[in-house]
Amino acid sequence: MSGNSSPKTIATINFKGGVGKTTVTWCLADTLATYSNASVLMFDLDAQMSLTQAVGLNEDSGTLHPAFGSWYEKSLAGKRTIFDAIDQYTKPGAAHFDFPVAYDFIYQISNGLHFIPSVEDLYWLELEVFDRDQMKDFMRRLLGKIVHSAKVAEYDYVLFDCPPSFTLLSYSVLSCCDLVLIPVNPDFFASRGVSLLLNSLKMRIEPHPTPQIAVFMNKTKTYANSPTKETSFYMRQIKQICENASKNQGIRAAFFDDAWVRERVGIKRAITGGGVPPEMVPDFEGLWKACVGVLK
Amino acid sequence: MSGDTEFRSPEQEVLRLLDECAELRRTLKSISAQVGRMEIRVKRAFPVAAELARDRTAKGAQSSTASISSEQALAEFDRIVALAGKGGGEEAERALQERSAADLLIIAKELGVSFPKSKPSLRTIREGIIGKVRESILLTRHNPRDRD
Repeated sequence: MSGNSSPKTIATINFKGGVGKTTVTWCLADTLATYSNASVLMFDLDAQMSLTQAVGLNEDSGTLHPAFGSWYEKSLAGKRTIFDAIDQYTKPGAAHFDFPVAYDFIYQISNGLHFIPSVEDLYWLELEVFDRDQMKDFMRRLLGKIVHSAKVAEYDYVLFDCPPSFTLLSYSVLSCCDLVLIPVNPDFFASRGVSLLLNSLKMRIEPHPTPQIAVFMNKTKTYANSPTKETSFYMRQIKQICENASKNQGIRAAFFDDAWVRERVGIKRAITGGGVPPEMVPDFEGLWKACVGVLK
Repeated sequence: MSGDTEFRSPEQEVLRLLDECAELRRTLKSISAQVGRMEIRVKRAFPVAAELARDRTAKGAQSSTASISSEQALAEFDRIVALAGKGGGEEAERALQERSAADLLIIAKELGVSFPKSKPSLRTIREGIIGKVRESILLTRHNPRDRD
């Protein structure tokens, strides 16, 4: 990345839990950082802290250098967490957003992959922050600080792992991101959330423009290296939902026909102790290629 | 047990029957293997004729299973969903009832409907398809509250 140009921002979201938001965010970031020269910043915005714990587990298993635990303790003690940034931003009477960005706020997992972890306090964010409209601009302002900070790297891509609900923080992210990436699963309940998101997002984040939306099938059941008929049924249904939403809601919603990610037990290894399994790398490279295609 | 049999007890008779079944199975297996080898040799000796025979068998199987292709099956499903979505539930069911079992099976197969039995009843196939019709309608239905 050159100069202070803005990084491309991608938010992984689905109001349904368990569709693989965290795994997809981790695997995409890991694939990007490992197999390209891109510089990636990853946010864990979910109070359940799955991504944050995954980094810890990877260190415990020896996959990553064991430094995160002590860094995280310092970050909490020094009030340098994402929650502290929100606290500072929404403090009544604060003249400006005074939250210097450095490596006490951003953790360096590897050269190309940096990370802003979650904190349990995010559970109570909705109770503590009352000014919804003020919160809307939080992520935009924080990203501005990161981009203009001389103390941290320049990032090509920022990936957000969002909570499975429409929180103030996800509201803030969706108001400013370039791409909303929605993983779905080949079942009714996971697919149901797509229609809800596509048909409500525009109304909920107005007057901000609705970002590009991309939906893809995660945990695809395969037979002979192709999606099964049952999975294809849901893929076809979701594609129709995307097309109808684009036509009727005036939003840009794409369905990635060919960039599906297969269901593999081994994918759990990627997040609890190791990189993306070699047989899954082409799936995530394909997904990334499709993301870049719609981001252009 | 009658006195004109060679068995001293029913158990002895059952054991003999089982032995004979096993022998028969071995013989059939051996015949099947011999027929298989003959078939392979014939196909290798007459590859063009073998290809023609395979095509004919495939076409025959297709026509005996369904009168519609996979694409037509999905198009028919979309038509039924559209009918049901507009409140024409009865019409949708009638459309399914007019279809042959083979056509219904191919529609169900294209939708990924699975059945507990290898030869499901017509009613089971129809219910499987209707289930997918309902899913399709529910996946697209949403009732956002109007904002003032």
